[in-house]
Formats: sequence, structure tokens, C-alpha cells
Amino acid sequence: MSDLARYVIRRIILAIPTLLGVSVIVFLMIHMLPGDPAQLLAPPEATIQEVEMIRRRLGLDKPLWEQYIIFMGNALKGEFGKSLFTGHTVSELLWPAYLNTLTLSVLAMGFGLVIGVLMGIYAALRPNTVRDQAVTSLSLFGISMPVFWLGLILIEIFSVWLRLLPSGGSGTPKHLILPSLTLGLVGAAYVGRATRASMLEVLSQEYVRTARAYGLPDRLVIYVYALRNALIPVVTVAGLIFGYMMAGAVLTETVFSFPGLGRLIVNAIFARDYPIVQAGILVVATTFVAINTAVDILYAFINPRIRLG
Amino acid sequence: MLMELDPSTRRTLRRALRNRNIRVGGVIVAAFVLMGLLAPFIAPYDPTKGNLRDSLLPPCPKYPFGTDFAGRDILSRVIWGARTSLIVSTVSVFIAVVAGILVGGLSAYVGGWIDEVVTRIVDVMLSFPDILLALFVAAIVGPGLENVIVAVALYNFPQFVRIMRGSALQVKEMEYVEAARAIGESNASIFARYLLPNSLAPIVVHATLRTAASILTAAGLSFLGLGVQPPIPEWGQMMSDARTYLVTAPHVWVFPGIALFITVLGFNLLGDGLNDVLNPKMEV
Repeated sequence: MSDLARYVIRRIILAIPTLLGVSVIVFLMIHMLPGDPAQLLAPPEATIQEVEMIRRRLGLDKPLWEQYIIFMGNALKGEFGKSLFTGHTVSELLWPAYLNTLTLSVLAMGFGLVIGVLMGIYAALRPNTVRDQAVTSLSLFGISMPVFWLGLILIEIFSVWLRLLPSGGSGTPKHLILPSLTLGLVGAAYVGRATRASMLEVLSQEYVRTARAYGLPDRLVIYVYALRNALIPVVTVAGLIFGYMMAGAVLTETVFSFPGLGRLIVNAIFARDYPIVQAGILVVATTFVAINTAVDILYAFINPRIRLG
Repeated sequence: MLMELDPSTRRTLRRALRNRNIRVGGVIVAAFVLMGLLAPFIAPYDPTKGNLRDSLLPPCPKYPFGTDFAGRDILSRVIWGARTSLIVSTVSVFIAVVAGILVGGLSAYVGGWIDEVVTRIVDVMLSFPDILLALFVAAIVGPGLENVIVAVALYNFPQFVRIMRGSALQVKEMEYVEAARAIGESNASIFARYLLPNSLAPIVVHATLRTAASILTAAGLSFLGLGVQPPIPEWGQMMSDARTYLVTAPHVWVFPGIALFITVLGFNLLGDGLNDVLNPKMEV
């Protein structure tokens, strides 16, 4: 078996205990809440008999480990039970919202990568000049920006003043622009920082200097040889940021009344609709672990040195 | 006073004072801390009592930042909001730092299966990206000032375990630590005299940066309605009903947002500057 295949397998196996841990914590949530789990999972108007029925149906009278196995078995089939109040099953509500958040995050990631990489290169080509400092300050602003405040500012500009874009809701591609730009700008700040640092490092390396000394055109050296290597660490950062976007989408979705997973979770917390909260948090965390695993594997493909580690 | 310090400390201090990020960030952080501490003396009005006849006034000489829907002075609420943010962020980061140092340091020092278990738990906690862990905790413990502190402390905890563990693992193998053990120095003394001081620089840097992140996260929770509850003035919560007044009264959400943004920026600048000074090898 090749080094690469062995690394990929090891990396995937490594994610399993983490995911199991995540599922245990999410499962235990209902038991960490003050009160009787069966009561918590019953509609508010349920009678004592109905609560007992729920207890038996959900296996809440069984030992904890057995309950976990039931929970996990259902979760693996994508079944998270029924919403306590809406009459829908959790999956009926979960997957459309998940798809919305995923669309939002992918678009935001697109904005973030394009703006961030361009900013990073722009700064790294003239280190310690005014333009480098401008980019560095701008990234720091982005990192310090409360994402919900940025959303409100963009609404004020594009919806209230210019009347170009809707201030909230969903349905048309237009509704996606402002929320994904909001999330993307914060992401761009992190990507920009990472790109600048990594580009500076690559540009100082011998092969770049050699290529330049040979008289290769500057553009070729920078945009082909240097950039290709400089983007390797950016991939890792981008993976992390994607996870943060899926979580940070909670705030963005609230600002724009966007029907995503984050809003579903928050509304469910307020409604004490715990099956939805559990399923939602489990899905976001699982996605995050999956993305980081995928990024590590991708990293191994583009950077052979890592496989030996 | 500077003369009493040993030369290397004095050098670091001088470098720190020359660093622009530290200077700008330090001034912002100092202003924020003073605002929080002195809120009762500098706020012109009671932040919780409003005059309904003055509801939603735009900025004017009487109310420099305008008033909110209940006719409360927004300037006073922004000043008192600093106090709330100061309490939530410092207490939660402090708890996380102390717990992280103990758990991370012990885990690295003892090693074996304990270290294995701690590392796994930290990995699991870090699988809840960003605000999600705080949100999860908030869903369990409910809203309120103390509960936000718990949520934000738990959200910071795994980060500090990881840092402390990492640097303790390095120091543990140093010859002088082996030597100390060989001459019978107690574990507690080795921990306090070698492991802790060597981990201090990354922890100080990270604590500053995490304070920035914690202020944002706590404000985010309050913005969602899961954090600090009215009538306690809090920046995120002040912005949460902004959508209602988006067109009619933007000052309601603009000023708390500016305060939040500048404060977070201040801690980030300070953290970056401290990183340059304390971990010079990281400098690009």
C-alpha cells in the first residue's frame, strides 16, 4: 500500500472516535438539562400517560448506553424523531435548512477565497509598504468585525439606501447575495492573512530566487510557481473557515431572516424543541469534522512531505 | 522602576512599548477597561430607566447617541455595556486559562492514558466550530449573565488545554527539568517553576486574542437572545432589535456596533503586538 493510501485511511479512522465523542455529547444534552427527559421530549399539553408512552417509545426507561445505541442507530439512518411542536419529522425540517446553509457557506467561501487570495498576493508583493499595511489593517478589521453588525451595515447600504437587494428572506438568488457577502468578507480577512504570510515565505525561498535569477518573467514566477506552493497552507485555513462559516451562519441567518440551519437551531432552542437542537448541532459538528478530514487528505495529495509524518 | 528589572525583561518591555500594535491596542483596551470600571460615574443617565416621551430620538445635544425604543439614553447604555462585556470576557477567559493550564499541564506531564483521554475530549470539544459550542452550552444552561460566562468559558477551555499541553510537552523533555526531577524536586514545584513560566508567553498572547473572540461570541449570543438578558445593557443585545428600526432609527444599532468593533479590534491589535514581541520567531 502506498504512503498516501495509508495516510488517507489513518486520517479517516482518526475522525471516528471524534465523531463518536460528538454524538455522545449531543446525545447527553437531553440528560444534562434540568428535568425529566421524557417530560422534556413530550408536547407541553401531554398527560402523564402520554409522557410514559413517550418514555417507553423512545426507550428512556432503558439504561443510558442502550439509549445511546438507539439514538445513534436512528441518527445513522438520518432519523432524529419528530419535532415536538410543528408536527413535522426532524429530517423534514433539517435537510432543507441544511441545504440552505450549505449554499450560503459555499457562496461565502467563494467570495472569501477570491477576495482573500487577491488581497494576500497584493500585500505580499510589496511587503512593508503602504499597500501592505492597508491590506493588513483591513484583514484585522475583518477579523474584529461582529458579523451581525456587518450584515446590518450592508442592509443599510444596499437595501435601505440603494434599494438594490432585499434585506432578508429567501427564494431568489438575489436573497443570497448580501448574507453570503457578509459571511464571505469575514472569511476573506482570514484567507487574506494566511495568503500574505504564506506568499511572503514562498517568495523568500531559493527556488523562487533562482527562477528569477534565470530571467523567467516575474508574472510566471509569481502566479505559477510561487502561488501554487503558497496556496497549500491556505487550503487548511480555508477548511477551518468553512466550518466557522457554517457555525457563524447562525448570526448571519438571524440578521437576514434566512431559513438556514442556524436559525432552525436557535428557534428550536427558544421553543425547547430539543430533537431539532440535537440533530442540528450534530449535523453541523459532523460536517465540520468531515471537512477538516477532507482538507487534511487534500493537503496530503498536494504536499507529499506530510504523508511521512 | 524600570531599572529594577533584569536586562532581558527590560529589553522586552522596551520592544513592547515601541510596537505600534501594542500601543494602539493598549490604548483602546485601557479605554474599554476604564469605561467598564467607571461606568456609574461617567454615564450621563441611568442605563435601565427611560423616558417614553423621548423614545427613539436621533442623536441630539441632550442624547449624543440618541435614545432607544424605551427612551433610554444609548450613550449611557453603550458605556454600561462595556462593563457587561468586561465582566463576561475577563471572567470567562480567566476561568478557561486557569482550567486549561491545570488540565493541559497535568495531561502533558503525567502522559499515558490520561493524556490520551484529555486529548480526545479536547478534540471533541473543538469539533463544535466557533460559536456552536457556546450555543450548545447556552441551550442547556439557559440565558443570563452567569450562564453566558459558563458558555464562553467552556468555549475557550479546549484552546488553552491544547496550548498548555503543547508547550509543557516541549519543556518536559528539557535537560534541566530532568535534572530537577533527579535531585528530587517535587512535581508541584517543577510545574510551578519550569512548566508554567515557559508556557506563559503563548498563553498571554492567546488569552488576549481569545478575549477578543469571547467579546464577539458573548455579544453574538446576546444578539440571538440567548445571552445577557434585558434590562442589563449589553452591546449585542442592544443590536438585537435593530431589524425593527433599520430604516427609522439606525443609531439604535450603529453605536453599540462601533463600540463592539473597536473593543474587539483593540484586543486583536494588542494580541498581535504581544505575539510579535513575545514570540519573535513567529515574525514574518
